[in-house]
Amino acid sequence: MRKGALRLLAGILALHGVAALPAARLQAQDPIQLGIRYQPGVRPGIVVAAGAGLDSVRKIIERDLQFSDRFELAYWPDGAGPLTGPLNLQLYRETLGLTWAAELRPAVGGVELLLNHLPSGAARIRGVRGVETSGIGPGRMSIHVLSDEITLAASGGKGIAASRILFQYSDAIWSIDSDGANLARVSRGTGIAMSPAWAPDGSRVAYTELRDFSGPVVIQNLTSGARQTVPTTTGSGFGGTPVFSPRGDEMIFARGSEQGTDLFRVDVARMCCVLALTASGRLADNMNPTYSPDGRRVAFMSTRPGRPQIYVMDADGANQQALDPSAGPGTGGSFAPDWSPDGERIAFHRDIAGGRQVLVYEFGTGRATAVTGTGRNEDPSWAPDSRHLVFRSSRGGGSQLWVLDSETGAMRQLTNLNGPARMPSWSPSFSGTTP
Amino acid sequence: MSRSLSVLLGLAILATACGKKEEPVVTPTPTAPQGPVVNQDSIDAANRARAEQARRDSLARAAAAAEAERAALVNEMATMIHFDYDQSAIRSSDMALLARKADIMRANPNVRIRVVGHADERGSDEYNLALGMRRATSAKEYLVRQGIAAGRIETASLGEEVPLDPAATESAWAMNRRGEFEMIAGAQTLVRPQ
Repeated sequence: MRKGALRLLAGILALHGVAALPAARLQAQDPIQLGIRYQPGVRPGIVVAAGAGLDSVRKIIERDLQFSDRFELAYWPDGAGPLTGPLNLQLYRETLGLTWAAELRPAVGGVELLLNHLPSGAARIRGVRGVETSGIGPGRMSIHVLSDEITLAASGGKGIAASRILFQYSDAIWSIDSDGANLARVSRGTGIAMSPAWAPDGSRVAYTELRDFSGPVVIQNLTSGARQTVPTTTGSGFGGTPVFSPRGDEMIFARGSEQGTDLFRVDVARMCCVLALTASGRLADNMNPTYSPDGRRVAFMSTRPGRPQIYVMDADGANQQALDPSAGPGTGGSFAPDWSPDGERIAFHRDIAGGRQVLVYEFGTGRATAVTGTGRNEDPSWAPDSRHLVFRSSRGGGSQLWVLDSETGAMRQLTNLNGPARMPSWSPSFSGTTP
Repeated sequence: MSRSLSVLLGLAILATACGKKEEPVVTPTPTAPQGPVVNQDSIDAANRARAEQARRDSLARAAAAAEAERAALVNEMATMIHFDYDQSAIRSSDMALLARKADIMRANPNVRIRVVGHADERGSDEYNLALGMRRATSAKEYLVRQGIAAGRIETASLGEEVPLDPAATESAWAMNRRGEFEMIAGAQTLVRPQ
């Protein structure tokens, strides 16, 4: 394969008239390597070519497509220079067997994108996109939006590039882009912030802030930084594990006090009207609510059977039932459920044989499968594509965030910080809006 | 002056001298040898000063003793209790500690305390907040059963967020599963329970 890849490289260089690097100088020991991976399942091949001044954009898109786990990438060689003329589509279709070729060219107002479907010769996307081409800072999100557009058109699947992950690090809430760039502190308080949650439009976040021996739930506007405290979460005790409803007008949180820890719903549009959804009192703790995507049901953790288990109820608190505790390996406690955006699965973590693993429960089969196998893995959060998960893991030493493709099992490390990264929360997709 | 006048003057002077009576020679009566002068006022003042200093020294010793006793009582009140894994029940080994705290609080009606429950790093991060709250509440209830008014005891939880030992070992976890006690009022004047 490597020999064939090198021939391809030579061919590409030749066809694009890059005479400075004749094929004879390329040897088997050259460090340049084409990033074509052969994985089980159908993964269409794709190449991204960019015109002058768009090298940063190309690299970000290549990485986004790689991280989507939906394509076989044919990386554009760095030494090949920018795209100067029409792309030789026949080369990519016949020699490499690719399915897609994306061309990026500078244009007034941003970048012109041309996505070619090679077998048919048809252009699937053609248009100018308002893209920040520096590849640095908040403007990177516009490039991720472009990546997701390519992903959707070329694979039929939802992209995850235009999204961020909130997490706790060093007693504060931070955010990071889905590709691991743009680490930024979010929470503005002075206490210990934890349990972050996104509003569905991505404009606000909620978190618990432990301060002065109290633990209110705070809602913070990401643009203005303005903060509000959720009613009934001040004073003694704590307000924990907040979650916004899919419409963003309500929130469910756990309130812990000497009377126990129960779930409450609050109208966050009017910041009023707190209603109890569980009433276990001192008999059990109820925490970690997560809405179904249609907003009609809520899954949560409860200790009412003794050991923590995952329960599901109607959004008004009716019909509270446990998921089958025997579903899946291990008999330890089950914690921290997260409902997938497509509504078909719940991810959670369970103590198994001295470790802690992430499990995915499928509503269709009623079975739970472990998607991690070693070490300590916890607090899973679904990506917008309902396929990838971010979670906290001890693999590699320490405690960092990792991203898992639940379809292939592929994993990549998201954070590499000087302390534990905890309690991740994956945002909704920002494709269609650029926050 | 004429000669005769001089003679007369001389005779006059002579007559005067001879006219004085010779005073008797008085020999002073001998007295006892003189010692130091006794100033009773000074003695009294010195005695008063010594007495005052002694009084002050006594007060200082008493104050130091009282402060040492107060500090000892503060230490007793601050002594932590510990919990078994994933449990909030008071260990039998900690009951005497709590009973002692109750004694101190009964003897000092102005004392108010805060109990903060903590957890080790196992279990989910958020579950441990609830567990810490249960532990703090459990300690409070024990004190209330000992006759301490509930209004004198506040509770809080810090979950696993503030470990005493961040290591991932059994001994560190055991240390971190704890209830901490802080006096939030009445700590300045404490008396030992009878």
